[in-house]
Amino acid sequence: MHDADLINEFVEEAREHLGDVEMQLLQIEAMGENINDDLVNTVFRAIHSVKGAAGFLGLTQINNVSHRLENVLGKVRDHQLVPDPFNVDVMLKAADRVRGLIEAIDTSNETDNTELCDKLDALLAGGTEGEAEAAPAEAAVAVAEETKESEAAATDESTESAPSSDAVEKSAQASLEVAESGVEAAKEAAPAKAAPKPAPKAPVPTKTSTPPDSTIRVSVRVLDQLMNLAGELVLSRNQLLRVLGEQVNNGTNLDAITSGLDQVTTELQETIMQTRMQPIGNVFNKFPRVIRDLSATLGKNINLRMEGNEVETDKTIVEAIADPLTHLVRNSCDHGIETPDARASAGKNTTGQVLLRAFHQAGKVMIEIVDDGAGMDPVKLRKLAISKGVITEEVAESMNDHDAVNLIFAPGFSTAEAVTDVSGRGVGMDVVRTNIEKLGGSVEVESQLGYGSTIRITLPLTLAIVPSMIVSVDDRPYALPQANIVELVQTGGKEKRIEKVSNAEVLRLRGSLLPLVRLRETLGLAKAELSADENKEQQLVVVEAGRTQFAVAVDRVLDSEEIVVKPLGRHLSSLPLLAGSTILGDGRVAMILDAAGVAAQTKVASEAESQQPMAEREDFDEETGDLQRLVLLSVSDNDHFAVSMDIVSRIERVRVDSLDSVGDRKVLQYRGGTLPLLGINESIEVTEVEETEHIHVVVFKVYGHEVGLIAPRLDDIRDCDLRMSDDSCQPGVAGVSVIDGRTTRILDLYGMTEIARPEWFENDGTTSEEVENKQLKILVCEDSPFFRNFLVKTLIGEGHKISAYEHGEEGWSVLAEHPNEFDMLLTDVEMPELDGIGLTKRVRADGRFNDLPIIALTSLADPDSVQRGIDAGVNDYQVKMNKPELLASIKKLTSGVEN
Amino acid sequence: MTKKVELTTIEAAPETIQLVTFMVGEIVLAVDIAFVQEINRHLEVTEVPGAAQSIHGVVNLRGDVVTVLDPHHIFGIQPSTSPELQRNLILNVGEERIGVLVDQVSDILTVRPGELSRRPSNVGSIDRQFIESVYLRDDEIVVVLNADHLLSTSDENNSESKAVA
Repeated sequence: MHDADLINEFVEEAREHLGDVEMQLLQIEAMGENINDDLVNTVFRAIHSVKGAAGFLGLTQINNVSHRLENVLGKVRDHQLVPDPFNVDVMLKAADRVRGLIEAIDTSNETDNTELCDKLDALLAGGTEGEAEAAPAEAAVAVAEETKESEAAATDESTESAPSSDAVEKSAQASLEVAESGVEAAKEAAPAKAAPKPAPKAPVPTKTSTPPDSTIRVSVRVLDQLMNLAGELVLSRNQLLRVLGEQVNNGTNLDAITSGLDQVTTELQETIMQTRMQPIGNVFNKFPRVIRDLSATLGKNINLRMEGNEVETDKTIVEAIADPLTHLVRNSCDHGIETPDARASAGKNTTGQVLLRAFHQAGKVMIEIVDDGAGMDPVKLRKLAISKGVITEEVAESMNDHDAVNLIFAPGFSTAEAVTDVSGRGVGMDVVRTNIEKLGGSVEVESQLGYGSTIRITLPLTLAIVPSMIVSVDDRPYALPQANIVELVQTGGKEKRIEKVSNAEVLRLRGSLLPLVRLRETLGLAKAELSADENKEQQLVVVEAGRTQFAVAVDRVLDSEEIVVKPLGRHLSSLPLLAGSTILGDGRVAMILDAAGVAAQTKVASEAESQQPMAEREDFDEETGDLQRLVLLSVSDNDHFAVSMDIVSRIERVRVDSLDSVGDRKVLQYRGGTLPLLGINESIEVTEVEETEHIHVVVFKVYGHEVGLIAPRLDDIRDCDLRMSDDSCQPGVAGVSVIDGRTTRILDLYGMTEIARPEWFENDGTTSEEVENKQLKILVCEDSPFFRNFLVKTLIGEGHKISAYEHGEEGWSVLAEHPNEFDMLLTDVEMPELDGIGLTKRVRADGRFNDLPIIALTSLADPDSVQRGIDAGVNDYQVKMNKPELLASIKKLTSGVEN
Repeated sequence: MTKKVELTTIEAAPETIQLVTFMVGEIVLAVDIAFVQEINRHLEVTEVPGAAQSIHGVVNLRGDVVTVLDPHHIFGIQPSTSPELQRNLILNVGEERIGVLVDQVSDILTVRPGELSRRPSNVGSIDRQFIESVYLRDDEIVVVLNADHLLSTSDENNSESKAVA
C-alpha cells in the first residue's frame, strides 16, 4: 500500500490546515453577506490542499467530501452563496467529517459519506440562488468528477510503481489543475446567469489571526527527553552548589563559575519548559462552535466572549483541561443561562453572556467561566444536598453560602431540575473537580442568585517541576509540594497547642481546630523509637488538600527546593500516599507526598468536609467571621500593638536618622512633601520605646491627610482572630486581644490621632456638634463582637442611640416590628443567617423603608461587591474602622433625609 | 561501582542462551541475560511507605528512580546474613527497569534450550508463576525466572500491606 510516512505527513499537514477552519467558518457565518474574501480564500485554500493531497494518496472519501466542500466554498467566495446558519452548518459538518476521516485514516475509504455529499451538492445546486445557476454548477462538478477519476487512475499507477516519483506527482497535480480550471470556467460562466445579487458591501474588517512566528515541528518525545536532561542538569547543579557550599571559600573564581552555571542552567531549563508551553487558546478555540451548537439545541441566545487566548501553560495541562472545561462551559449554558423568555421577564438582555477568561496570577494560570445567568440558590442547593444525602442537616445549617454553592462539586449532585442531554446526571461536576485536582489545580464557584455565576479554575504552570518543601521523618526526606502548604508552625518542644478531642489529636491554631496527622504514623514507619521521639521537637506544616486543611507533624522542615518529578515504577505508581518521587541535591531519592492521599488515609478529609461535629463547625464559622487582617507591631518586648490593615494605605521602612523634627514633632520628608509622624507613646501609655536603627512608618489617612504611625518593629501582617478581644476603656485603643500568646492592643488610629493632634479635628468641630445635636437612632447589624462593640462605642460617643444585633435576620425582625424607630441602618456585609446584601434587599422590598439610609460596612470593598450592594439598595459603603469617613457618611445621609 | 556483564567473553553458539545465575538464600536462580542491564553494588535504598512487602525500596540509578524488589519476601526466604555480597540486579523488562536484590551473583551459564525442563511444578518455596523453566547443573537445580512476571508480581500484593495510621 502507501508509504506510511507519506500518509503520516499528510495527516499532520491536514490537521494543521483544518485546525483553524472551524473558527474561520464561524467568522464567515457571523459576517453574513459582507464576505471577507481573504478569509473565505484562506478556508478555500486549506480545503483545497487537503483535497489535492487526499486525491494523490488515493483517499477517496476524504477527497470526495473535501472536494464538494471546496466547491461550496468557491460559491461563497464568488458571492453566489450567502453564508447563513443553515449552509454554514453543513460546511462545518463537512469540515468535521474530513477531520474525522483524517483521524481514522486507515478506514477512511470504507466510510459512507453520500448523505453529506448530497447535502453539499444541494448547496452547490443553490436552492436559494435560483435555478439558473444550477446547471453550470453541476456541469462543473461533472467536469471535476471526470478529471478526478483520471487523477485517481494516475495515483493508482504511481502507487503501484514508484510511490514518490516526481513525474507522477506532477501529472496528478496537472490533472488536478485541469479539474480546477474546469470548475473555474463553469463558475465564470455562472454569475452572468445568476440572479442579480445586491452589491457586496465593503468587507468587514475581521480579526484575522496574526501569522505565527516561524516554527519547526519537533516530536514530543524529543522534547520530553530534553526536559529530562534539563532536569538532570538542575539536579547536578544542585549537587554542585551543595558541595561548594560546604567547602571553605577557596577563591572567588569558582564562585563566579558556579553562579554562571547556575544561571545558565536555570535559563536553559526555563527555555526548554517553554517549548512545552501551549496557548490556552488551543482549547478555547473550540468553544465558539460548542456555544453555537448549544444555543441552537437549548433554544437560548448565548454570546461567548473569550479573553486571554494567548496565556500559555504546559501542553499536558492544556490537553487535560479540555474535557473539564467543556463540561463546565456546557453547564454554564445549560444550567446558568436562562431561556430568552425567562431573561426578558427578569429584566435582562435576552442574549446571555458567557465569558471565558484566562490569565496569570501569582505563578498560576487562572481560568474563569463567567455567565450572567440565573445564578445558584444556596438555599435550594442545601436542600438538594440533604435530600441526596450528600450532607447532613446539621452541616447544611452551619454551612455558609459560598460552601453551599460549591456543593455542586460534591459526588452525586445534579442541579438541573430536568436532566437534559447537554449536561449531565450529576456524575459530571465531581469528576471535573477530581480531574482538575489531579492536575494540581483547584476549582471553585461563586454565584449570586439572579446575577450569574463565576467558576474559577486554578492551574499550575507546569507539571514537571514542583516547588516543594523538604521535610524529614527519622532522617528520611520527603517532599511536600508548596502548592499544598499553607504555613509552617513551630510548636516549641511542649506542643502546647496540640490538644486531644475524642482520641484524635488536633492543633489549635488561632482559634480554629485542625486535625493533626503524625507523618511517622501515617507512613507506617517503625514505632519502636516513638517513645523516645515523643518528646522530640516536632514541626508542624499546615497543609491544604482540596477544601480540607490539616496539620502534619514532621521531625524537621529542611529546605525548599524546586524538585523534578520522577515517576515511580509500576509497582508503586498506585500508592495513595505518594505523588511520585524526586532526586534531591545530595543524590538521595525522596518520595513526594500526596496531600490528598495523606488526608484520605487518615480520614481527616471526610471529617472536615462532612462529618465534623456541629460544635466544631460552628466554631470555625464564627472564627472566619471574625478574621481580620492586622499589621502586628511592637515598640518593645512588652508592648504589642495591632492595626487593621483595611485602613492602612501603605508601609514604609526608613532609617531613623532620616527623620526630621519640626518643633517637638517628627516628620518624614517624602516625595517632595512632609508626612507628619505619630508615635504610639504620644497618645498611649507604653512601658518603653525601643531604639532601633530603622523604623516602619504605617501610613493612613485622616480627613484626607496622610499620617504616619511610627512602628519601631513590624512583626507580621496576617489574618488574626479577634473573637477573644475585650473592649478597652483606654482612648485610642479599640480593643485588646491575645495574639500569639501576647497581649496585643488594637489601635484606633483615628482616636489616637485625635488625642495627639487635637488641632487637626478642630475645624470639624462645628459639624460634629451639629451631629451631636441631632441624635440618631441607628440599627447596627454586625456578627463580629469586636466590631460590634467598636461601632457601638464610637457611635454612642457621638451621642447616637444604638441597637446592635448579631446578624441580618435578628436586625430585620426588630426593624420590621418597629418600623418608625430607626433613622439609619448600619450593616456588615458578610454575616451568617442573612447577610448585608440580603438584609438590604429585604428592607428595600418592604415599602415602609424606602427612605431609610443604609450604610454597608466591609473590610475590603472590591468594585464588584460595591456594585452588588448598590444594586441591592445600599446608600454608601464604608470601611469598618475608618471612623471619620463613617461619621461623615452618617451625617451626610441623615441630613439628606431631614431636608 | 558498576560491573557490566561482559557479553563478549563467552562464545555463544546461535542455538544457546545465556543465563545469569545468582543466589537468593540457598536457592540458585537464573534469569536470561537479555533482560539484565547491569549489576550494581548496594546503592542507597529509599524505603517506600505504604508499598508492598516485596518492594525493597527505590534507588537512584543515574537520575532515574528504579524500584528494587526483594525476592526474599516474594519467595518467602529468610533474608541474607551477609549483606556485603548483596547486589542489585537491574533488569530491563518491557518499558521499565526494575532492580532485584540478590544475595550473591554467581556466574553465567550457557545452555541449550533443550537442556531446560519446561513447566515444572513449584520448586522449593518458589511460586510456579515465577518459574520459566528449570536447569539441572550437576546435582543442583537452577530455577530460571520469568522476568515479565517479576514486573507484575506485587500488583496483587499491593493492597495487603498498606500502612495504617
